[in-house]
Amino acid sequence: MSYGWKGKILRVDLAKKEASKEDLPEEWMKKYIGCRGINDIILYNEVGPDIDPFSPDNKLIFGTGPLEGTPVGMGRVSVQTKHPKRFIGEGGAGGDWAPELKFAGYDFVVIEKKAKTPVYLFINDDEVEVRDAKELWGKDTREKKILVRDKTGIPDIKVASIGPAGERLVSDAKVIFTEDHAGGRGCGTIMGDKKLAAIAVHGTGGVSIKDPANFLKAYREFRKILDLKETIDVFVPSWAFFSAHTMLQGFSEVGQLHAYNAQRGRINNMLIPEEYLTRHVVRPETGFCCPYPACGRRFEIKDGKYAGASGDEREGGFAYCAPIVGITSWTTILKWRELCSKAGIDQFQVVYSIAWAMECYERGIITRKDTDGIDLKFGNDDAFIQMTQKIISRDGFGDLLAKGSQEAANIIGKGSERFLLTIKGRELELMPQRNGYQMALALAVCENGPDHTKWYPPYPPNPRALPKDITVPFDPFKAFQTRSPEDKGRLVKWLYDSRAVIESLPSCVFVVRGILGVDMNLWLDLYNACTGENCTLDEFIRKGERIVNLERAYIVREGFRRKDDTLPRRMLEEPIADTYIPPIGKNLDVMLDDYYRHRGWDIESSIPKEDKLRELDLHFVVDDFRNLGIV
Amino acid sequence: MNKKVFVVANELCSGCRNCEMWCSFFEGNKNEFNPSYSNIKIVKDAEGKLNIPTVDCDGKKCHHNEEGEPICVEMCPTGTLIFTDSEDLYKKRLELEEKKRLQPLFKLIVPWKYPYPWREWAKEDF
Repeated sequence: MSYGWKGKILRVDLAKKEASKEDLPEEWMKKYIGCRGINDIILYNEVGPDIDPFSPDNKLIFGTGPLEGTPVGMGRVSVQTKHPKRFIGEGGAGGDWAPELKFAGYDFVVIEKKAKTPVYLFINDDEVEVRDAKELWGKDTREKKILVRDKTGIPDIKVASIGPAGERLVSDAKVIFTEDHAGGRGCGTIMGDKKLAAIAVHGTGGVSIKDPANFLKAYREFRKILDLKETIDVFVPSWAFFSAHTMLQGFSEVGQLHAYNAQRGRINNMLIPEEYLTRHVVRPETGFCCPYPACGRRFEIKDGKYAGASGDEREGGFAYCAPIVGITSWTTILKWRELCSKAGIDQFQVVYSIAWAMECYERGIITRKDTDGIDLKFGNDDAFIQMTQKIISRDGFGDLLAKGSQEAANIIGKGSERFLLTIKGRELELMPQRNGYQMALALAVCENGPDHTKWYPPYPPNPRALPKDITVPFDPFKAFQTRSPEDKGRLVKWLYDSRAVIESLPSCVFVVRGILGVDMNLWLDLYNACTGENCTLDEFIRKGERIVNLERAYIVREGFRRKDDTLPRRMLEEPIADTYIPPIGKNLDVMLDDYYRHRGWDIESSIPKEDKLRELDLHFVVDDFRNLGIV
Repeated sequence: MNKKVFVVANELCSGCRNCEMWCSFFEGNKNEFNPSYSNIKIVKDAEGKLNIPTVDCDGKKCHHNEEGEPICVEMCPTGTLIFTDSEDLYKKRLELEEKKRLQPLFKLIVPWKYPYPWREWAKEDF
């Protein structure tokens, strides 16, 4: 048995209601690390370009890696499928579900075919069963969790489920793991299409590691870097309690918000994190083995219109959704957060679609008649909540937005596509572009629509704070100039490669702080101590590069090219109205050229070149490209 | 004689299970993370309303680090697990209640593990 791994893939055929186990190939463990990397290779091999996302042949893969089940794994699971918009639908989530899957004895679960009637998957160590889920269908994610617990009679069973949004095939629905951990934009839609309501897991095993002494030593070092008192990273102490909330006021000051559908960078009366902490937070609530005291928090609204709303939130990103639609009230945004996680819907899809509709409404492109009588103005709390409910239930105008804002703009026309904030047909993810060119480039080239977790954190290392003994494969002084296109190619390449490694171990990208973000040696020590391999640093990063190239090869095979690696028109052409920050314009092309050149991809088309693919041991991709006539 | 006792401030528990995993590591085969070996179990309900760490151990015979703390106390990020002598305990609990009233951050951590502000501002920072 390999250390760290359980060495098993569980394949479930929903049509036949059968499950089978197969061994995880050792070659994959060595080449792709695990989790996201191995999901990629399964998807590449088994879901080709001729398979429609909604056909029974599309697959849904839940993956964990060698470090999952140890405290470094942090409960991360990677869900992957072919997204309804044909790129890779991939996302990570935390929670207790992934370690439980490892304890039950599996590294990967691959869901195949479609069920005729709603079912749920029950995994209890060796016992795997596809069970009827008629009672579960139509319930929200929290009700599903409780129903599954009652039906199975196991009090601490871990449940991954979809909500009404996934069941109704809202375009970017998510899978919700245990306590409001959401992951995999678009994966919930495919799960709903397969009529799989939930996956319930219970395990009694463990995860063994090769070198306990070195593992403990490296882990203590890891915790020291993230310790509030000892850290060298200014973000850590505040992140540990407020997570992304910590920068709400700061980002508003410097104009980094997408306020009013990214027309402006600031908003008056921006949410104050202290108010949230004093009035609504009950206690910390983090994912599995999170090293931060309170990267996530449980909130309960005690009074007012939305009294009784409660839930867990992590990483704090949801609060940045408020300025996009001009909301300045904590209770509204918390109620909205509860709605989204109960429905299993993607917050970003909802908020950017509504913001787009609000702008169209204010500009007179759509009227009250189109919006079913809702006064869809920026800052209208009730309209925001009502429209979210309409999207979830696919009712009236909500049905249009449930298709995603890009499709809605195609249907409405009248120039409404000018206000879209989408890349590759999918809504953005809060990261500012005009203020930080590294973020603009990284979002444009992402293989699964805009996804900030593939290259997080967004700030380049401060060259003056960079320890002397650490060398980085880019010029830190140039990379630190966030509004210049200089050297962003090498920076973004490094971010993608190193984060692909971290996500494949897996571990959480939100702990990539301090020197963890620039020096991969500690990650390597943890990996080697866990698996017993003798991987070198170069090989380690090379594995990350291989994963990114494989993902690129996948979307190239689906027909994505350089023209799709672009930004919303607003980012390229319009300055930020209140801070006068200029648009990105032609700088994007400069950065793309730079990026593709350093990647070894063709500059005209973004197709990985043959020598690069051969260098990364991806010979089968070369053959594939030849057979399909891509090169 | 070691008079220290285990106390749990369970209103601060984030449910992260660091204690559970590390306890199982030292109580089991010393090379395996397996919650069934652990003396601590965090009880969570499906509604997600509470995390209750249940400790089936007096903290005297298990693995202690160089500072004399059991491994679970060392790895707890919020300071929920308290291992101290009974006289000190009263003082600490009082301090926590007092600080909680003054500074909302102490809803999330204990003051003796992470005093606030975290460190003295060095002169060269400015």
